[in-house]
Amino acid sequence: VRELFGGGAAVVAATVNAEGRPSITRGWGATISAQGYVVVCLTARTGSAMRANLAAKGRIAVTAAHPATYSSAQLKGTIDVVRDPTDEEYDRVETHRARFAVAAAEVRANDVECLMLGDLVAVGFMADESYDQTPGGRAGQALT
Amino acid sequence: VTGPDIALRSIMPAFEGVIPATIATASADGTPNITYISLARFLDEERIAISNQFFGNTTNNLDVNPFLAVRVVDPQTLLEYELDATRLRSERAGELFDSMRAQIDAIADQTGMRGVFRLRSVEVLRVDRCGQVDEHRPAGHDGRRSESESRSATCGDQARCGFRCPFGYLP
Repeated sequence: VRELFGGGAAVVAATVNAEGRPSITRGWGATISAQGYVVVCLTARTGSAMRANLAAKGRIAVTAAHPATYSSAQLKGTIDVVRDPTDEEYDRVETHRARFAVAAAEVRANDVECLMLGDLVAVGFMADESYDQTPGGRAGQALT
Repeated sequence: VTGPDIALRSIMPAFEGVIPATIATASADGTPNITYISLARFLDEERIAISNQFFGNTTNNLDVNPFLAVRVVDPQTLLEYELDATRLRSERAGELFDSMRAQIDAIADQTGMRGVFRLRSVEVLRVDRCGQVDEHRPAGHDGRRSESESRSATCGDQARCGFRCPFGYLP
């Protein structure tokens, strides 16, 4: 899972508001510690539903899916920290973006002159659920 | 997602099955779940149908909480739209189901996923809101811009710089 998140996967995150309505955004430059603590930079414009959900520090899901192999995994936890990204985290975002461009080229999506980033916030959470989401027989099964 | 509500009919290309959609559901305790679907289809100005190829978590969530977020991409403009939706019903037979199953089978053949992409049901959704995701930035920026700068960088940047962003074609 760490390799998947650290490679060229597309990363998507979701949160939920108090009424139970989910919101979706994109994630960049995720890291996962040996203990399972995840830090990921999310696109979350000031004033957006996503930003409000993050501030409420509820549950979060983050999924990574490789565009060429379809290898996919999802991590879930309770939001611990929401803050501005550090310079090091911005660098990881750029590294991820470059790796994603390489992965995208594998499926003949070559023109990556613009990328969707937007206002980024760094979010930290301890993953307490993890799932294999690769299409096939193991899809949806918990990872151990 | 910001700006005014967008008419579903105005983004019809996003419902042609060219680009997979992303959906998020939530459990009773507020834990989200994300998955990808092959097809979101326009039904009318208030409703869409999505292909249910889900894993257990999504199905379980929809049984207790009908709210979904759906992200679709217009393959012509490469702009993303987020739909707040409510599940109305599931269909496991009938004209709509058969039509979407045929389209899913075609997508599976094209992507080498026949036997893996299997339509379980069609979920008919009411779209409560549709907004454009305006979080794009032009090339050459890494996110370290001021907020005022970023506010001026909207989806229009995509058209201005003439790029072909790959995200929509990918998970």
